[in-house]
Amino acid sequence: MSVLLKVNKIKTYFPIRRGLLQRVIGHVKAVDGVDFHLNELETLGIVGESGCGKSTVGKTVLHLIPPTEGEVIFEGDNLEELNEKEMQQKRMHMQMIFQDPYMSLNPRLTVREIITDAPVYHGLIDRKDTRKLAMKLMDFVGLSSRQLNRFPHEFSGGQRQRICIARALSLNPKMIICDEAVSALDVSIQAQILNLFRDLQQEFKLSYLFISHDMGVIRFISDRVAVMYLGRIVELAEKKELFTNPLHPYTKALLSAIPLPDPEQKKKRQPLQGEVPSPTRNYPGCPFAERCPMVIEECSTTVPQLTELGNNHQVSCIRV
Amino acid sequence: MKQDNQKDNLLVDIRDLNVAFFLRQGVARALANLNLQIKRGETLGLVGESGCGKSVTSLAIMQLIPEPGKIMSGEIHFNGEDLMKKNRKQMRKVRANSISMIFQDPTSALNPVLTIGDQLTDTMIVHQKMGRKAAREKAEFHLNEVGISNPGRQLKQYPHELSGGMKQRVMIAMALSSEPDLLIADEPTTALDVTIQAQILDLMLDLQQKYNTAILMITHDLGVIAEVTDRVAVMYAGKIVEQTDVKTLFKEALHPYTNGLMKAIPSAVADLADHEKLYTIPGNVPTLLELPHGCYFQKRCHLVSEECRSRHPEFTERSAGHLVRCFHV
Repeated sequence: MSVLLKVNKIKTYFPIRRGLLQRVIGHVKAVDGVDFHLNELETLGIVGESGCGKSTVGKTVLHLIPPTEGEVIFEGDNLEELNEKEMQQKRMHMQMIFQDPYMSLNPRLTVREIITDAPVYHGLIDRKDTRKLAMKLMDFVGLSSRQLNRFPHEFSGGQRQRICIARALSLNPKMIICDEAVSALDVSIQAQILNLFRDLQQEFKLSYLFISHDMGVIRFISDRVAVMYLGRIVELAEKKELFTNPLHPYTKALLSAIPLPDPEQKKKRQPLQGEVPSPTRNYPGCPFAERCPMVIEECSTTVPQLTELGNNHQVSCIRV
Repeated sequence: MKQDNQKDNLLVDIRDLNVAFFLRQGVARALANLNLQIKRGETLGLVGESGCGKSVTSLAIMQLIPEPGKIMSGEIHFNGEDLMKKNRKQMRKVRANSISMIFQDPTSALNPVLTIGDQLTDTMIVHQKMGRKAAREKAEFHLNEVGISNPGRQLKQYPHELSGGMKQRVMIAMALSSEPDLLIADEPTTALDVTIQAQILDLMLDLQQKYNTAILMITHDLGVIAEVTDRVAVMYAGKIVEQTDVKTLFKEALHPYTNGLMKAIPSAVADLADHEKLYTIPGNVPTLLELPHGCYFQKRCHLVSEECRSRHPEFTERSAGHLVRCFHV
């Protein structure tokens, strides 16, 4: 298995400006030193609560937001060093699917235009061949080719997400970043789309960076899982390892907080106290320290590093 | 706590409720002959996908169906009185004193230009005829109860200064300040993170114990249902298709839609075998404008037969308290 994407210590900070002179008075540290790689044909799940920086990681990988520090290496090329033209070529191989299929489709274009505009622009196909390509892609994502000339508002949420997937596939990408791609869908539709993602992965030889807050979805779709908290990865492991043997106290709390669909097992939960603190603060030690049940004095002074504990299991905690 | 001199302990009794929305494209039958009972102090879960009529049911109880919707027929008994027969003023009283509601999105449910304190005390001053100072003390007491540690400071803050979880706590404090008999919670934790969701659910159950409030819990999350409810009603296209106690539902659900829903959720506690697919219910939810003749679930059902296409299945009792609307189970 070869590495498709390598992310080295990326940081993405957003400046906070105040006052007449718009002076920078601080930073929102959305992503604060994240390291991971994605293999070909693999799905890496990124899970975490709102504001933990998982969506910013996705956008930074695509250089939709360039990183403040660190580098993103895709197919062996550092994206920082590419010029505009080369970047355009690269972007064909990395596509994104968003959460809300109502907002991410242009309401004035027909499905055929939505799906085929990009390959025409990039010169992959001739304008007169769009019908054929559109029909083929519609078939792949399970839509009827009779619906080719309809507009987005004529489709249901699940069907719209299928259109978004067809659009992402139209450029023959190697990697698709799915940012909460099934979160807005009803359960019965969500299952259909998740299965579709799996089928397409084999068919098109895709790698997914699958961002979600839903542990069930992550467990179904991922090969490896990264858990994020306040802009950092706190734990990264093979799916099975992470769910059966979570080591970081945050991962444990997250897993125990999920309500289980089994009334016989009303477990005694140990919900985390407090809420996620602000990402604008500077943490001299571990950012999770103030909510952590295992906290010791050292935690407030030492910044834990993501360390390999064998078995491809990486944890960022000084207590494990 | 309010005294009830009722013969039985039935709090809400909805009989043959029909609600329709008159749209330009036609008439959408949002609820068709709905029957639903809620006992005092119990938690009833209402599950279903978007557009199945869960929220319309709760709005009908509150008599707050928005235009162009209309309650066509039926009775809604609450505390032994028919809410349909009440005029606007009487209904306002019921909403102020006996039924409270919390919504999915606490941000849009709170008024951004009023402080938390103003919003909490307003109803007490108007409906319970309390003085400003007494209302403020009561508000502080309720904020404390929902786990807000510094209520004096919180009362002076505006909604935008609070996080989502905090705002939902404020909504719960507001809902419970009138010590209602019924709390309608419409997807109360859907917008919250899992760790915060766990806190809020625990809080709701604690307060329910304390005030003996009945809760109508509307959600699409079967995990939440399993964790907090006593009985469950599953809705599909404006009808209840299955209703039973929560343990029976998760052990021996009968209706093919309920079963499909349960199997379609990816589990966070167990792995599927390699390359095994998720169970799916084929097709989409039918639009309420063009419901099929016969059973509404027929187009997506694997048990479908000729009978399903020709007439609508009755809601029948299979064992004590377990009602199902299907010919084939």
